[in-house]
Amino acid sequence: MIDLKLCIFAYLDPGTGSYILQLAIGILFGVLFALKLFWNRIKLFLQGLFSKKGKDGQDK
Amino acid sequence: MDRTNSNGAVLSSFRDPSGFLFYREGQMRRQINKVYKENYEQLMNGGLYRALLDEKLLLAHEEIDIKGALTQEAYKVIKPEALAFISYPYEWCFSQLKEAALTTLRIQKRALDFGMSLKDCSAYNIQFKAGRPVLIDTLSFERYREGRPWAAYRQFCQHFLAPLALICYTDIRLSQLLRIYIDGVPLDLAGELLPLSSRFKFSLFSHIHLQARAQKHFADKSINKDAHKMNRLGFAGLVDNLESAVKKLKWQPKVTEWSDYYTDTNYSAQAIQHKKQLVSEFLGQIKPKSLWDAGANVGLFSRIAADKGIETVSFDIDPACVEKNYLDCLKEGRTNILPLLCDLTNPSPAIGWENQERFSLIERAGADALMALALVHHLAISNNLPFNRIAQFFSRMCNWLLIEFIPKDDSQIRRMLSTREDIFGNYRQEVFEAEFKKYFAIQAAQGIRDSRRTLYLMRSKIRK
Repeated sequence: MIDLKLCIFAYLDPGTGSYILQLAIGILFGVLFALKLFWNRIKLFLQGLFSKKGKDGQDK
Repeated sequence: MDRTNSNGAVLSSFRDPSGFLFYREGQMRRQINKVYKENYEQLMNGGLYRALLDEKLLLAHEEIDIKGALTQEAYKVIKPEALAFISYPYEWCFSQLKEAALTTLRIQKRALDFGMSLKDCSAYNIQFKAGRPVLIDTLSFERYREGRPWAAYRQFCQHFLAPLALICYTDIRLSQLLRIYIDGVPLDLAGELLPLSSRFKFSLFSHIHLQARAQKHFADKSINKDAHKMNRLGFAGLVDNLESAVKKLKWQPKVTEWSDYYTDTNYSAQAIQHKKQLVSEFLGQIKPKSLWDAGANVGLFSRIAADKGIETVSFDIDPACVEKNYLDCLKEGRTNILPLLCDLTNPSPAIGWENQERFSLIERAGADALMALALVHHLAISNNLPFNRIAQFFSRMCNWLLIEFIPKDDSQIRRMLSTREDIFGNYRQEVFEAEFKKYFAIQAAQGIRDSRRTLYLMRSKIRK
């Protein structure tokens, strides 16, 4: 059975080549993105740690 | 700008079955069809519409009585906020196209946060409102479907990434490919025109060169889309990578003939000051709501109009000038100057299906006033245009005209004539006045101090 609602919105042809390419490079970009998010969290944690230390230093 | 069916439907608004634009009592309306109901409800009630409005990324609208709908398929009728001027990607400078691309990606990221996605990524869906790019197509959103890749990926690369890369790596003039290819620059063509070095940039290699290859390879093949999935992380990673790729693209204009015009000019400081004063006085007399500054250079005189609250479109032929004008407007926080690229001797034509999808520049003319400072000699001498044709053209474009006449003994004209035979016997002030009087009533003429130039204020006899 064809899902008419899904079909009608796909009025733009994504192009078979572009579709397949996304599947291939999506895995790689997904991994890179996960690493970037992880790295950003580490940076935030370290920044928080040092700024806390700095504040503690000032308090003293 | 009347490109409508007999029922008022806008002729360019036909691709998307979700709805279409139409005019009612001179105002733009958008019909949303029943088939788009679920997506519209999710946009409006799921928090995305409010979030995008808060970040000034989407054009606001109000829902109005459905009785105004044009067809039976209508689910809602909305009235989008009005825009001062519709511009097209081939009229934007590099940074305008880049900002439009980044705005599109920002919207896509926000949409994903709310379980939606952009189903199209046309650069024509972005317009400049108060100096910043906004999405104008309320129907561009669809529910994100887990496992499906981004339907608008190819279109984003063709409309934004490829032309931006071509400008940076090859030549600024290639932005004009968008004027030929209404659905963006074909990626195989972009790949051919980009230098070898672009292949060593991983993002450009993937999104342009590799995609062009994939398009060619799979051109005549079909796939079972249900058998191939892309997870959400991959989807978000793809959008994030496109954003990084666009951000890295930079264009530094070389010093062009025009971008240092005001530092390399035959004007004295007194002449410039007096010219500014006259422009300000003339604008004060006529108080136009909107103004086109033709040959605006970096927008020095556009700013006089803008400071008076006049909506100003600031045209120039030089991409470096438009770029500087736009970046300066951003720095100065200006909201009522729109710098655009335009060759007045070959203005934007009407393009697309039946030549009715995108308007020509002349069809979009409607400003109260036109300013043509230090321009006529370029049209008359560099482009061999008789005064009569210039006057006729200008009279159709505006109610009021501020125009500067520069006599032949001015050093700029002497420089223009130094390499060619002077065939311009009619280039004289009395001929200029006689020809312009056929189309305009001259309201004022003032000599600019410390120069032989004259600034005129004229009223069109043609446009009412």
